[in-house]
Formats: sequence, C-alpha cells, structure tokens
Amino acid sequence: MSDAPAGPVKPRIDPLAPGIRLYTIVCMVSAIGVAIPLMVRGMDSAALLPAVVGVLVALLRWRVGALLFLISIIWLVWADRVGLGPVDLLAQLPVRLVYALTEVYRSGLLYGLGFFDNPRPKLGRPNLMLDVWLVGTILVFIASYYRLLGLTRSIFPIDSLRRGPSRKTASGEPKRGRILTSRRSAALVDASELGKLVPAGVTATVLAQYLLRWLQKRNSSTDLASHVPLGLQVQLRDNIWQVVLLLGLFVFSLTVLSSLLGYMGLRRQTPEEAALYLQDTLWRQTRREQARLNRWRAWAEKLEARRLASARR
Amino acid sequence: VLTSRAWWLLVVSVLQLVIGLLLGQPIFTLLGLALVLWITAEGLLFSFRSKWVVRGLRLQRQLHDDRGPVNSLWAGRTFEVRLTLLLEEGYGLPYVAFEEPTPFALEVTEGSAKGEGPIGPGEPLRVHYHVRAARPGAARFEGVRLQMADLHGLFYHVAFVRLEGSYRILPPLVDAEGRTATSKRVNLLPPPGIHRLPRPGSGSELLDLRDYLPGDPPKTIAWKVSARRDRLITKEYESEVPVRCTLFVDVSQSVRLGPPGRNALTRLIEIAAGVAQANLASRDLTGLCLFDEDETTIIKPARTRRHLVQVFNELADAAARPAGTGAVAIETHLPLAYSFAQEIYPELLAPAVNSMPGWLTFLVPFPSHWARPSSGLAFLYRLMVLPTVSLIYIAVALVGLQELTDAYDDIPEGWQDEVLPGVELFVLAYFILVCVFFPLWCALWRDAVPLLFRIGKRRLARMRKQMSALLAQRYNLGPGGLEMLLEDDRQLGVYLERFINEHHVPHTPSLFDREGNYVFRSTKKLERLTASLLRSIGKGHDNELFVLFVDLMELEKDLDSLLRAVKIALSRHHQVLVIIPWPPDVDLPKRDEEPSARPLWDPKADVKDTIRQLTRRRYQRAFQNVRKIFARVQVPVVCAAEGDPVPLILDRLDRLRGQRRRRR
Repeated sequence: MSDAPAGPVKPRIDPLAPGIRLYTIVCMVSAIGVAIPLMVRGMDSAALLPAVVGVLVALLRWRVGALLFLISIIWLVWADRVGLGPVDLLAQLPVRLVYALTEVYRSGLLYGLGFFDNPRPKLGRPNLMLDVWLVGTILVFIASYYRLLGLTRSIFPIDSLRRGPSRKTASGEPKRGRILTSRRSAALVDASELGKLVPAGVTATVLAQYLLRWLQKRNSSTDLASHVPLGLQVQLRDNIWQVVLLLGLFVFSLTVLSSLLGYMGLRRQTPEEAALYLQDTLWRQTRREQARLNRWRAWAEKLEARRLASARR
Repeated sequence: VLTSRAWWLLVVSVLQLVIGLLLGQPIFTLLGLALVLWITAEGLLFSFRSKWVVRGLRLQRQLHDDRGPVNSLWAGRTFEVRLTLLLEEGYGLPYVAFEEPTPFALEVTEGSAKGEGPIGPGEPLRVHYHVRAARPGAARFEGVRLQMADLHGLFYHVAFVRLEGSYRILPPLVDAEGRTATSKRVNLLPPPGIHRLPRPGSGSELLDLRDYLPGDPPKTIAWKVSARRDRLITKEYESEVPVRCTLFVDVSQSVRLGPPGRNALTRLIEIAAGVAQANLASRDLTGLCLFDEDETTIIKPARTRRHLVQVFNELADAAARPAGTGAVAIETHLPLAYSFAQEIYPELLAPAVNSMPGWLTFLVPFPSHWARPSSGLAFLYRLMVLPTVSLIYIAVALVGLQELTDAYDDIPEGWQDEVLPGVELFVLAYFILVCVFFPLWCALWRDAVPLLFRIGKRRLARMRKQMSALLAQRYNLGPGGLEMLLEDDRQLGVYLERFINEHHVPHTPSLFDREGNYVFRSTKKLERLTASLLRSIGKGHDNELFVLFVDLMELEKDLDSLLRAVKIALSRHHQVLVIIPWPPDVDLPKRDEEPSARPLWDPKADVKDTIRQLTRRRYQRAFQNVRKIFARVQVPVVCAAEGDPVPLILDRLDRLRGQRRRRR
C-alpha cells in the first residue's frame, strides 16, 4: 500500500460528456466552415490553415486556442496581402527581420520588412456574402470554443487564494493545496444553447457589415465641412477619420448605456449599500476636517493615557 | 468584471479593427467590428443581469432532522440543510454557481453546500447537504456566495445572497434512552428512580422494621416476622425525596478563550449538561447559575423536561459567546476581518460604494502619527530627517529669494516704477508662499517618503478604510464614525472584535496588555459567584450540593470572600465541589510533580516550545495553589479535563443522602 500523501483529487474530465462533445463538434464544424469561403475566394490549400488550427485547438483545449485561431486568420490575410503562401511567409519572415534590423543598425531608420504589396490580393476586395459567412463562422468558433473552455478548464477566473486542503510532502512539510478551478458541469449543457449562439454570431456579423458600409462612406472633408468654421481647413486622412469616428461612436454609446445601467444599479441598491455610498461621499468631501478633529482627539487621549500611566507609577 | 480571457480577446479585436481601418483591409475591419460588437453586447447584457436581475434572487433555508424541520440543533447529531435559491422576476440567469459558507461550528458530513446551473422564474436551484455539530454553542448561517459568469467566461460577478440564521447547538443528549451513547458516563448513570433517601416514605425498597403503631396501614404489616416475634411488626419503606444540586458555571472571558466549541467553557458545559440530565433521570432537582464579569443568570432548581430544555438553552447560549476585550491587534485582526468581509459582504466593499483613492495611501498614513504609538525607528527617522529637510528647505528658499531680487533688479526701471509693485511686496508674497509650503514639505518627508517603501502598510490602509466604512455603517456610528475608526486604533479594535465575534469567526485575542498583565483576570466574577452562592445558601432547603465550575487562575490571592461563602455552606451541611476548567491544549496537572530543573528561559530552545512550557507551568502551579487553598476547608478541587467529573458529582449527591441518614 502506498504511503503517499493524499492530496485533493482532481476531477477527471470525460471528453465524451454530452456538453463537451457538442461544443467540440461545433468548434470543428465552424473551423471547417471558415475554410469554405476562403477556398471560394481562391485561397486553395492555404485556406485549410485556420481549419487545421481550429480543429487542433478544439481537441487540445488550450487556453490560448481562440487567440491562436484568430492569429492564423491574421497570418493568412497578411500572407495574401504580400503575395505569399502562409508557409512561405513563415520561412521568409526571419530573413526579412534580420535584414530590417541590419538596416536599422546601419541607417538608424526602419523602412519596413521589405515585402511587396500584392497587386491582386484575393481577400482585399469586399464580398458581402462570403465575408458574412467567414466572419460569422469565426465568431461561432470563438464563442463555442470559450464555452468549451468553460466546461473543460474553468468558467470563472482562477483565484490563487482559493485552494484545496493543504497536504504534506514526503518529508512531512506542509504544502499548499491545489488551486481550485470552477468548471461548468457538462450535464447542464442543453442543445438549445446553440439556438442562441448561431443567431448571435450572425447578427453581430450583419450589424458589423452595416457599420462597416457606413464607415466606408465617411469622408473627412465632407463630414467636417459643416462643423469647421469658415476659412479653416482640416486635412485628415479618411481612414484616420474613420477610426476617430468609430472610437467616438463607441465611447458615446458606451457612456450612454453604462450610465443607464449604472442608474438601474443605483435603483436596485440595498439600504446598506445606499447608506454606505452616502457615507463614502461625505467622507471624501470632509475628510481633511474630520481627520484634523480626530487627530486632536487622539492626541488628547494619548496625553491622558500617559498622564494616567505616570500617576499609576 | 472583464476576465483576462475577455481582455485578451478585446485587445486582439481592437487591434484588428484599427489595423484593418488604417490599412484598408475589409476582412480585418469586419472581423474586428463583429468581435467588438459581440463582446459589447455580451457585456451590456451581463451588466444588466449583474446589476438588476441578481438583486431579485432570494434564498430559503430549512434545517431538518429525521422527523421534520427544527429550530435548534443537538451536538453530535446530523441534520439536513435544504437550500433553495429562487428568482422572483421575469429575467433568468444563464449560469450561476453558489456555495454556502459552512458555519464555523458545523462540519459537512454528506453532500456539498455547492450548486450550479441556470436559474429563472419558476426554476429554482436546490441543494441538500448534511451537517453535524461536534460541540454545543451556536451555528450562524450567513447566506450563499454567488458567482456568476456568462457562458463564455468573459465576464464575472460575485454577489452574496443573504439569509442570516442563527441556530442553537444544544449539548449532547445522553438521557435514559441513550439516544447518543457516545460517552461512557451514560453507563455510570443510575437508572431513573433508584436514588434512595433512607427516611421512611412511600418508596418501594425496605428500609427497616418496627413495632406496629395504631394507624399504620395493614398492608405494611410484616406477617411472617410478626408471627415469629408474636407481636405486630410494621415494614418501613425508603423515601424517594430528591436532592437539590446547583451548578455555578463560570462563563467569563477567561473560559471563553479560544474558538467557540473548542475552549475550556465547552467542557464545563458538557459536564453541566451531563449532570443536569442525570439528575432529571434520577428525579433530582438541578439549578443553574451562569455568571461572568458583568451579569448573573439564575435558573431555580427544578426537575421537569421543560426546565432541562431551559437549562440547555442557557448553556448553549453561553457556549456560543466568544471571548473579547476589545484589545485586539489591528495588524492581525484587520486582514482577518477584511478577508471574511470580502466573502460575506462583497457588495459593501465594492469600489462603487466604498472606495479608497489609491494616491491617498501613498501620501497619508492611517492612523496619523499623532494617534499611533511611535516606534523607536520612526522617532529616530523624524529626529534625523526632519531637521535636515527643514534646513535644505530654508537654504533653497533663501537661494530663491536671492534669485527673485536679482530678477527684479534686472527688470527695466521704467517697468519697476510704473507697472510692477515694489520689491517688498514680491518678497512678502514669496515669504507667505514659503511658509505655506513648509508644512507640506515636512509632511511629505515625514509621511509620504516612508510610505513609498511600505507596500504592506499601504495595503493595510486600504483595508482599514473599507472596513471602517463598513463598521461605521453597520453599527450606526454616524457621519464621523468612519474617520474616527481610521484614526483611533482602540475604537477600531473594539468594533473589529465585535464584527468578528458576531459572525463567529475564530480568532485569537491578545492575552496580555502592554504592561504584561493578563487581561482576562477578573475579580468581579468572584464577587458575583460569592453573591450567588450566598443567595443559594439562603434559599437552600436541605442538604444541597453546590458545584462551582469556575476558573480561578491568577485569582489565588482574591479568594477570601469566596472561601467565607464556602465555609457558610459547609456549616449548613451542604456540600461544595470545585471544578476548574482546563484549556484543551495544555497538559493535565500532575499531582506529585516535582519542580523542573530546567530553567524557565532557555535561549537555545524554540520560542513556541518555551512559551508552551511556561504556560503549562503557570497553569499547573495555579491549579496546585487553588487545590491547597480549598483543601484547608476540605473542599475537593477537580480538573475538568481530568477523567469524568460527572460520576464524581453524582457520588457527592449520594453522600448527601448518607448525611441525611446519619442526621436522622
């Protein structure tokens, strides 16, 4: 019989549990679904890169899996932009980096990596249906992958302070228990969850498409013409103006919505929270005056205690 | 709260979006936009749920035993806790996980106090688990800690659904039926009704034979003996008149030291409960007197079941009372209370209602140097640094003054006369500015510079502010309460201890004050005990037994009045027994222990071991002293942790009956 110290048993994950199986399949299907619009747009075998990465991470369930999948898409688009295959880009990149660093060392200026722009990029021109399909499947992949992580890794952030019971090492020294992770039970997964996931992905994509169309029509000179005083000319590149516009739109909408939600939160405060909020506001506004009073009081008490101690002696 | 998963995804999405817009790559832009829109929508929905829907959650709790719902628990028995988390309003939550913090007095024996799943109106979440209390006292349930996330784990929220409930844990039931035959003393208890009072009465046991007297009932005539003696002989039977036993239980601070359920008082209460049950089984009367430094609770002797329940309730309430003098160390108790409050009151420590500006912890110490006792190092720092920086300030100010006058001289004369005021005004303004900034300069060096290198101190300041706000609000300290607790260590100690004790959090109070005096030494309780004992003697009917469960450590020199009361009791043919409580982690006293040759202070020994040895010696010496003092009046002194005092007390009761026989 082994006399090894008994530590907390890590619950094993059943990969064939219905919920885990469902989201693994959804991840794989959506990863393969990403390859189809890319192939239609003429990416040939390179279109399989995101699909391979997606299937692989769905099986391995890495925490960074979704980001790896996104990076594979970025890599593919970049390779298309410079007119290389994804593997060729991987092979050429170190050489180009060394060359660029040498140039920086010689001249002190960075001229870029030396790639040429592809005059006919396959992914450069918008295609309404294929773009919606591509982005929709990517969104479904990312959402289902994160749900899969919630079932197999943890759904809540990991708190290093929450640990299992401490155990003893072979030498008898106490050892801190394992960090507790909270997974969502696979038995709770319902197939109807997919009924909300897919429409959410498609809706976000369609809205993004509309927003993109609206943004692409924005022109700094025409947009600003009515707002800038006469005689003043503002030279702003259109893409910069679009970034500014998008940022402003997000900040404005988020400010309005978060204010609304904040107000709703205030309406639902308990009496204790409301009293604490008022007390905190009062303290922040009168902190110095109160501190001065209390310091005098504390000082007087200190003197009194000293006096009593000396009298006792 | 956005999780790290959400932050990473958001960063990559925004980068994609910006790069896509700047480079004119529509797929990047579309993908980035779609991701940002999706995360934003999920975040807003989650925010709505966490701020609005969660507030509608309600908790229901029921404790059951085999027969149904209960309002109090029994030590040593298992009970089922049934929790139901329900939502009253029309929006559901896709996923919540909750856990009820198990009260410190209970342990989970079966099942788990955790639950998870979606929750909506009409779809409550239910959890059942079993708990067991090892010791008498009280169990306080707070509610459930709720963790909430979206299904992707991108957003996270913690809340607490409060349902406070306090349940008494009554001492273990060891009556004649022996529901929990866990202790050997059950076997030692006599069965009901066997106590015999050797005085003629209506009992069933034969006491004596005597000549027949007119009026004796014919059924008492012993016919065979009468025939042999040739005269009528009557049988006399024993009487079953009960004996009264009054238990004086010390519930003062000194016996409450330690976690409730694992202190010296617990053992006293178990013994008292055992005696009360045994007395009820033998139809004897039991009285109870609970005393501490401030109050005395008296229950008159009786022998009904209702009386026993009343005695048990009082004992359970006493067992649940924690020790505390208000003299807690802020450095140890503040983090303890804060971490507990983070679990139980997360909404009251949220930055939205209870915030501490980060910059303030860098600039101002809490409490200020006026209020806190200054250490030697701090005094030395002030002595060295403050004069130095003052001199530097004055030197720089003088150089600045010189520069100012030089600059004034460089101004063309026309300007000096017509536009600008005279140089004296500039010098005056400069002097005022220098004077105004001088205290700030000194405060910067006195407070802010040391704080820069003290991360622990800054963390403690943040905890202190948040806890002070919570305590000030909880105990209605008024508008100035928060700042008072920030500046006053003593007041904060009092309220921290109260908060910790109210929630039954185990903690270690300071045993000795700054002068090295034992803070739990109390002569007031002796006065109360003496008064109660005299009162019981005054109201005593017959020979009675007075059992004093009292901690007399460090009080050997103040026992005169108590000894006088004991002598009065003995002179009236009562019996007195003293039972001394004993801390669970201190070795039992040895009767004939010789003084150890080992010196009290050994520099090579481990400090903890030395302290343990010193404590053991102190207790044992005090015990021997008390035993000697009471031996002079022939009163036995017993250690509560040594053997089983219940049979000893019952034996004393039997002796009282013997005394009655002799008197007769």
